[in-house]
Amino acid sequence: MSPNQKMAWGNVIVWGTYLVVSAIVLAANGTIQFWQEDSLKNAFFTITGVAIASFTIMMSFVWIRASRARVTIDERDHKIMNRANALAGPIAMTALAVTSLVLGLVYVEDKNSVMSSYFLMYVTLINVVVYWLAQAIHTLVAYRRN
Amino acid sequence: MAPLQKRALISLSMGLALAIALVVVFVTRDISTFAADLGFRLIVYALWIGVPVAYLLLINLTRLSKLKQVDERDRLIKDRAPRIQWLAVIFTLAVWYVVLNEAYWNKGQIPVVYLTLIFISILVISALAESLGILIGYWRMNRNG
Repeated sequence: MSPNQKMAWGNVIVWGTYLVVSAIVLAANGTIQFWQEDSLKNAFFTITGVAIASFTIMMSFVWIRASRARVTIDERDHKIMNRANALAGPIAMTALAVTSLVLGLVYVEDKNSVMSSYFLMYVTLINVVVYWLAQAIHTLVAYRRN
Repeated sequence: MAPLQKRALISLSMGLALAIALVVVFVTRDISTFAADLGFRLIVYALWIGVPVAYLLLINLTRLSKLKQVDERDRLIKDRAPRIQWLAVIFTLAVWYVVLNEAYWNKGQIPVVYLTLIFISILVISALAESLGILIGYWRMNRNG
């Protein structure tokens, strides 16, 4: 298995779990605005912190092992990663637009004239997570096909 | 000049013109009046929708719509551009986050009118970054061979 595939598997496990757990926590509390309650805010930050720590450990582990084994990256790897990045960008942008739209509608429905400063952090986070996940899924599919 | 490069150049020029026009509109009229002033909103919406429509018309009514001479090099450049586009969007969001947080630190909440502005800026930056990514790709390929 190439380092790209290992990283892709790690991304799918870490960020897939993160999205599922976050969705369950938010659904259980009946709101997507996690910043409204202190307990929900703490839970969300804990889940995010654990995901970031797992991602960092996983990346370091794969990188160190690949450096020690002196794994070379060929033309096929470059091509797969370029295609994965090209595909992940528009998917992440769509996720960003949908999240903004949903949150915007929530504000409009509530007739609020102000929004939380967490709003931007939220949409940025969703954008990054969806990008990594889409990139990882495409990488795994592409390696399997090739 | 390759057709894809030509399209990117047109898109970049029109995107820059739109960005400058929006900045001028928001500098001359205060953001706080955006929600209250219908004329101001209409100018912004006309710019926001009008320029991309003008770009699409320009591309579709000219020979630029037919990208027949696309080779492996063009595809490689086109595939790399979305990464630059995505990074530009992430940095734009980060800049908005820092600037708005600092500006409204004491109040703790940001006026909802900024949502429209953030959304417009992301679309403009995204289009600019993609065009710039394609142009940088051609520039690098021509430089490095």
